[in-house]
Amino acid sequence: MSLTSGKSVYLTANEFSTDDEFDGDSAKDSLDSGNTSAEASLKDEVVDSVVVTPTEAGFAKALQTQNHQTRAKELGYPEGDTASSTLEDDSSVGSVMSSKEYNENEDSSDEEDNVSEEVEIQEDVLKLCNEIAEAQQPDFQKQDEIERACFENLIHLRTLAISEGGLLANTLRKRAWPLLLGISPLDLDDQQNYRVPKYFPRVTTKIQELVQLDVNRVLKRFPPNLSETQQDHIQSYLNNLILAVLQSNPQAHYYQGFHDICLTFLLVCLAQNVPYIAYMSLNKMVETTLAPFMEKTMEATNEIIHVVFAILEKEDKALYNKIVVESKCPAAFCLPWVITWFSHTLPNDTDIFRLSDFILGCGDQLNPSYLIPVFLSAALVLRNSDEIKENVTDTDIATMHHTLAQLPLHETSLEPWLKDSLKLIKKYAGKEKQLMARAIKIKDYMNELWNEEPVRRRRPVNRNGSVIATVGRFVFIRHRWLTLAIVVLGAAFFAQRYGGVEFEESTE
Amino acid sequence: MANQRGGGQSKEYDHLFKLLIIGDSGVGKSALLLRFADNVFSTNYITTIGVDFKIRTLVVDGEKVKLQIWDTAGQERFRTITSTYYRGTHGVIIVYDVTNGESFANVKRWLHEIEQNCDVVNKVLVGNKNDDPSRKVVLTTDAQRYADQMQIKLYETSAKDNINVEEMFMSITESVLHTKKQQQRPDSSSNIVQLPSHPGYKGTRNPKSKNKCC
Repeated sequence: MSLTSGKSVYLTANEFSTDDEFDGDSAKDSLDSGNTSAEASLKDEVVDSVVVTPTEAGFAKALQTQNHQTRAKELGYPEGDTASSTLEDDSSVGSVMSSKEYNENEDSSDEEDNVSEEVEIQEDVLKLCNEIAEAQQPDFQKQDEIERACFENLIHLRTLAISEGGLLANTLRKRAWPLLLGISPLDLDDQQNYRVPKYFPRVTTKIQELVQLDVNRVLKRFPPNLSETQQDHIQSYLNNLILAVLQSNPQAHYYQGFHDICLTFLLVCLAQNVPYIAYMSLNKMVETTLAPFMEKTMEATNEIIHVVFAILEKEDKALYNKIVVESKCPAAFCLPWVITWFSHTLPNDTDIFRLSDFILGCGDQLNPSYLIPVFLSAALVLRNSDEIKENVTDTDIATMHHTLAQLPLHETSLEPWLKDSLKLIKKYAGKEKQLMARAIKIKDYMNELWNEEPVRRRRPVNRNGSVIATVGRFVFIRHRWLTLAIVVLGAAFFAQRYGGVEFEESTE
Repeated sequence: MANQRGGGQSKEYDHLFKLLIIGDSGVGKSALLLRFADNVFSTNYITTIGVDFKIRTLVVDGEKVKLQIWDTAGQERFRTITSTYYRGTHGVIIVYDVTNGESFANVKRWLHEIEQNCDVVNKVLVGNKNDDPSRKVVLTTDAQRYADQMQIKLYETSAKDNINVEEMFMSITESVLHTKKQQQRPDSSSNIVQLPSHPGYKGTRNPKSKNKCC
């Protein structure tokens, strides 16, 4: 199922890039023409005819150039034809041909030097990204089924995503994932949605720097055998993808780990030359499955990870006692699991994609859906219950934390774990609220446990003032305007009353 | 903490100390820890999310000291969750990046963070990535002046070139050991350094009050 396309169409890094050449008017043009996501550069030697990309899934884009004198061109998707035909019509196996009008970019000459190099880089990147996501023994029947389900039956698609092996390949995922997230097929085909911001004025410099730092540290997750240039290429995509999502969602606060999720989506979509699908999917996720993690503080996230303990308590009281009561191990061991969907922990990209299939497929089983990775975490701990109970003799935080944090690395195959998780999810579906309430109680209880040790500190700090101080703060600080209003009104009242009496007397 | 205890085996160590590494994101906290614990350096680090720890045993003055060194996430928003790990810390390593002025400016906030979460605790200030003079922006004199003012030791290290890393960890271990012995003399029961409250574990009140302070 690998993408064996020739040097036909490749999106340039410019698509998401903030390169200098995009200053000023040209930048404005490219924004206006809506070509952000669909623009592509062509290598100068490209023939002036239809270019054929033989991809088996038939999703890749082919572009035609009509002017071979123009060397490197940026093509913009025009408003009229295109996307739907490109993406949908020939969904059957085979090649896709599609002709495009193009907007000749005035600045193309500036970029031509980079272009040929970029095309080569891109080519290998596509191939490698595809390779990592391929199922070992292709199950053609299931592939067909998934393709059909993408267009006909979302419920069946969910079942397929959960079932053993998941969605098999990135060529299928890139269509299925957004659907599973609840993006309507119409939105997916509407090129209005392909506009990806190129400028990020809403993202503070501080966050931009942080994103850059994190993006620089994702190399471990890249497909093997990438050259340095290729790595840079994906990194620049990733950086701009993250910033674009943050730019479009000012309510969302970036957290370290969000970049891991973005990379998962980018690798899937980049392999198919459709990075705007990653952008759309992430926009949706920021509002739904990732929303609590992106709040202003991590308070909500802290409560959510304690749901793991709430589940353990119900399922295996002895294990709960061992971890929570005896070891007093904080819930943060599963923090990276939950907020990155295990992508920060699992060493293998294929597993990460498979796990994402599962999480997305289960999206309708739990409400809120952000609890699914929490259930996966709980299932993982429960699976290793005996081992934890027997082997961890030192009941201190460090030993317990270490043991728990290593658990995902010991799973040789995902499928049994996912099966356990599904059982657990089905068992607790409908009881999410109780679990959340219990999680908050456990969180408070653990806080008490920790504060108990040093006796003199059982009372938390905030009580440093007396009653007078508290009342004073209440009256003069918190409700100072109300207090002022009462004083003024009172003064007016007395003035009116006594003044009024005097006035009456004087008139008599 | 575990003075004569041997963790199940016969006297595996004489002392067990918990150290904490804090500082801005990307200053090289994990790199320092990996250099010290495993003596390796790689350019392929990953972002630390949440917390992680490593163990190494040192011999100081003929006594075996087991160090449990916790590495924390640099991003500020994780402190709600990671501050629970500050409890029971004996020594804190505050790291900044000598090639990044802002990370040095933020040291003050990290010190404040320790004050809020830990009791008596030994501290050391570390300027990491001190291997390329052309990129250095935080001058040693400035850093030294600040360290003197705060009465903490300063070390300029490079995890990459393995400069001063061992010395720095040794120094903090020695001062922790020294503090422990001093505490044992007048009152043998109070040899455990404990912490007060855990911000973020008392509803939203604490973070709010923190904001006011900063």
